Order: sequence, then C-alpha cells, then structure tokens
Amino acid sequence: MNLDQELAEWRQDWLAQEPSAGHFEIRRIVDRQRRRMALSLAWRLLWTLILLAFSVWWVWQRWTLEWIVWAAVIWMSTLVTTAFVIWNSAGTWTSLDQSTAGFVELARRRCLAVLREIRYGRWMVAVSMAIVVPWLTWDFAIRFPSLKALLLGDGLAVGFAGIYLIGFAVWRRRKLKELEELDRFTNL
Amino acid sequence: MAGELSAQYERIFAEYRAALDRLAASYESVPQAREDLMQEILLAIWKALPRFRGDCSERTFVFRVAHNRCLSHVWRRGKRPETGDEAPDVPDTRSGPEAQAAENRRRQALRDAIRQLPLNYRQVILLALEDLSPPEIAGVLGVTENNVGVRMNRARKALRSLLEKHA
Repeated sequence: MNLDQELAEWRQDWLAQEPSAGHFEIRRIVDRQRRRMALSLAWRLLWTLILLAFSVWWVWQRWTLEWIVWAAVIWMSTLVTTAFVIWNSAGTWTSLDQSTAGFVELARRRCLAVLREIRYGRWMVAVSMAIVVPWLTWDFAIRFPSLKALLLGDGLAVGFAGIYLIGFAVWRRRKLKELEELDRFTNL
Repeated sequence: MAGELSAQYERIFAEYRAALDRLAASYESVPQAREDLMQEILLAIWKALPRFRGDCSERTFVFRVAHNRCLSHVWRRGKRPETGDEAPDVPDTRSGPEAQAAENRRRQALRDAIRQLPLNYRQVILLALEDLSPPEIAGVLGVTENNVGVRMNRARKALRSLLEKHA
C-alpha cells in the first residue's frame, strides 16, 4: 500500500465518525464566566480598598506610634504586592503568535509567572510571620498576660501561615508538573 | 458588530462542529469529559473570534484555537489512560452486518491508536486527517513545512505500528 492510499484510508475511517448529540449553550456560559471574572476583580479591588481604608481609620482613632507603623506596613506591603503583580503579569496576557508554538510559549510564561508569584507569596508569609509573631507575643504579654491567650494568638497566626504554605506547595507542584508537560511537548 | 460576530460564530459552529467533535474525541474517551472539552473549545473560539483579523484562513484559525484548547486540557488533566470509548459510527447501509462490524472495529482501533500517540504527533496526524494541507498544518502549529513533513512521517510510522498492535 502506498503512503497516500494509507492516509486516504485512515481519513475515510476518521471522517466516518458521527458527531455527539451534545447541546452547547456557549452564550450562557460566556455570560456566566464574564460575570464571575468581573466579580472576582471587583472583590479583589474592594478587599484592597477595605484594607487600606480600615488601616487609615484605625490609625485615625488611635494615633500612636505602634499603629502608625502598622498602617505603614499594610500600605507598603499592599503597594509592593500590587507592583509585583503588575510586573509579574507583563507578557502573560496574549501571545503575539496565535499558533500552537506561540501558545506553548505563552503557557510556559504563565507557568513561570505563577511560580514567581508563589515564591513571592512564600517570602511574604515569612516576612509577615517575622513581624506578626514577635508583635503578637509582645502585645499579648502586655494586654492579656496569660500563656493560654499567648499560645492562642501565636498559634492562630502560625496556623494561617501554615495553610497558606500548604496551598502554595500544592499549587507549586501542579505548576511544576505543567511545566514538565510543556517541556516534554516541546522536546518531542 | 456583536450581531456579525454572533452570526460568524453560528456559521463556524455549523461548519466545524463535526471536525471539532472528532478532535475532542481524540483527546477524551469518556463521553461526559468529551462534551466538556467540546464546550471549552467552543468557548475558546467564541472568545478568540473578535481578535480574528483574517491573517490566516478561517479553518486555520478554528483549528489553532481548538488544538491549543485541547493541549491545555490535557496538561491540566494530567495522565490518564485514553482508550476504550463507545462513540457511535455512522451506519453504512450499503454493507452487511459483518462488514459493518469490521468497519466499526477498524474505526475504533484508529481512534484508540490516535489517542495513544504523543501530543506532537497526534496534532499533526489529526490535522492531516481533517484534510489540511502541509502549509495549513504549519500555520496551525507555528512550525515550518519541513518540520511538518518530519513530524508527519514519524507520526504515520507510530500510528501504523500502533494499529498493527491492535490488529
């Protein structure tokens, strides 16, 4: 059998398959997805604004050095994180080349961006803990001088950090696997 | 503008639905998962349509978007055995029951073998089976025609060997 005939036979068999009877309501899905994305963005913005506004209000009510430092830390970390997110997402929105090769390159850039984000997140958790745990210890020692309260306060902070770190680890593993798949595809 | 896009989408859906369905079937053997993938493909086409400027043929555009969606679907899904579906075939009224059963087996074997091909080879062979020319395949995949030729030869060899194992 010559090669063209072989391909023609495969093609004939391939094209003889019947389409599934699935019903696809794309417009409804698109609308739902758009609403979800808008809500997610609005929620992020709202959360940032609430955090910033609350810190200002809090300092306004208690004009002490301790709270001024706290507000400054919150504002600084929010600004730094926003700047990082903007910088990190550069070049990950669309690919110039719409082909599979371009798509694979874009997927790789997105993966690397997420891995950078995870690294940043871990550092943020570490820095937050380095600030929060000593401060909580000091604060509890003054306000609620009991070992139980102290352990509860620090335990909650460490617990939250642990949840974040576990989440980052799971996310990182998934992204590394995706990167591995991308490499395998590119090197075939 | 939105009305034009909507009409264009409806036309694309009608024209390529069968091809896209076959494509989804070559990545997903489970009917429900296949429908989900098909939905993802159609959604990706709907979203990409406003950016389509006609710098390639509509067919190339549709297959590019669809193949890219299938790739991300596979990467997200991870490894899973990809054989043994129960997609129905078009009954051929001209042949008898035995001949039809043999044809069905052959088609099933082809589908299974294609699903076992590495992604790079699977893409090139699927596009060839959908009757795209080598320049069109190169346009979809973003590689040179020479590269398409090399991949095509390897893909055919791999597919032939898988089909021999099935036989």
